[in-house]
Amino acid sequence: MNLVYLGSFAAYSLVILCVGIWGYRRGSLSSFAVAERKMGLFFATGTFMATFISAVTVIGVSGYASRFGWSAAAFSCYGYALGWILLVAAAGRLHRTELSTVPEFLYRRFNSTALRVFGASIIILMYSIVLMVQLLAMGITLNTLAGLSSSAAILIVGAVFVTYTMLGGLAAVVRTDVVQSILLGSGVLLGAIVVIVRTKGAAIASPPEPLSHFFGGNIRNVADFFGWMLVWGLGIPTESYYLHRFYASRDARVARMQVGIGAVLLMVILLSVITCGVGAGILNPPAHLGDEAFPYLFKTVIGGWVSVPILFAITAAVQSSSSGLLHIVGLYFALDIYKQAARQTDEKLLLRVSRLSTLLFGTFITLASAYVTNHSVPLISVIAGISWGGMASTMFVPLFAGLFWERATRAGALASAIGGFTFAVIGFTLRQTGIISFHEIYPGLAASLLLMIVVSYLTAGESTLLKHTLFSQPRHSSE
Amino acid sequence: MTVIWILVSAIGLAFLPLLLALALDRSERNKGG
Repeated sequence: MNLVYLGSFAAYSLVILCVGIWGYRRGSLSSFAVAERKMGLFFATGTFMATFISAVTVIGVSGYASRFGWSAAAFSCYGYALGWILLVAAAGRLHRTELSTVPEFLYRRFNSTALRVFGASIIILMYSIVLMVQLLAMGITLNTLAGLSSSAAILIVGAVFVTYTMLGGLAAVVRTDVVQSILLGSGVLLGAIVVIVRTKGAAIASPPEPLSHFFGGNIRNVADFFGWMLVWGLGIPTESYYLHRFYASRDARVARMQVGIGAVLLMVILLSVITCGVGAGILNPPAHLGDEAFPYLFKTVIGGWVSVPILFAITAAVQSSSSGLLHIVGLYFALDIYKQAARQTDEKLLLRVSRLSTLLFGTFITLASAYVTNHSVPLISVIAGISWGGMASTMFVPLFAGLFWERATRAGALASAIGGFTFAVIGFTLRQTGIISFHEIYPGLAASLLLMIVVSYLTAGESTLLKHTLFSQPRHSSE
Repeated sequence: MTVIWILVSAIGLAFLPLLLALALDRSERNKGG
């Protein structure tokens, strides 16, 4: 049976690699960075969905549901919906700016290279960590499903997504994402149907006692519910790999509707993942709950051919999110750090640097993950936790104030980004030492918001072209 | 019953981004026209 898995996995990787290379037809920086700003609604929705559903979502949310049942929905679904609403609110405005990176927005809006470089550095650091977590999750999955060693699985998956991301940039990522979102969605839906049949409907209609509650796990009361809703709700609209897709969209309508349509489909996929998790909670032996619940359920408990599309779904989740993350890391290093330091504007050179940095970061992260998976480092999941809080604390206020608050100034944005990051790190340290019990996003965001308001009111705003574009009423001729 | 309530509310909430996108689209078109 392992041969069937390995053969399917190899064929799948080859197909995705070919789609990625097929997507690499034009060698321009615009194609690499923003898919020539020609992305239509079909491709945009596919890439938004594929990027959103990661290994952490499939493995993590189903694992959470296997222990805490339907409270996984209270933990994730409502906060995700808030995040999607804020993304739609920002989509049209961000599309109109016609920029190439999220830190570039901070530079154009506030006329601050320091803010651009700081923002890009935080994004690259945080995304490198998230990428490692994705690959580690993939290693565990392929080890459970196909008996492949974790480090070999990581190296193969890494070679595939690093190659097509480096060659084709966003144009290749978008094309592979559409294929992967279809595989991912259909695999998870099929999994949910099989689980409903195997539990005779109990996973939804009558889950056993500990799995049937709205409150459970991290959500002990209403305060926890709203707290986590804020963590996801403000974290999601800060993530560059979603915002970046607004630049690549053909028009403002596509920018908004990819999230609008994607949100409905994503919620169905998420609820299917939770159904699978609750099914694992009912069917798996108690020793196989948590992160391994999902692969174990389909490999050992249910078994048979169903586990092959499930393997595809998990691989698609990992590769699509990883390529989206790596694309941001490589491109932002080239445009927001290298270009600023070397003062280069030659597009061919910048494209070469983008590809090279994508290759180097991708190779380094893949090798590091393959090493870490054999040298149990418990800190990795802890470090992954800071990524979300760190990103939201650093970027949410400067970005949204920049988009929607005309009074926001450069000094306010700098104070907000640096202060937010600093307080998130302090909050994280205090939480690790047990002095506080709440998520570091609270001190991070509070400091970021306060600093933005106070410092902006104390300093004079600068007049930038982007500010004018964002806040002047568009004039339309009446003819 | 709790699960049905969760499913209905979560899917209902997922339509809000779509409604907002449609509303913003319409308002932009009206301004443009």
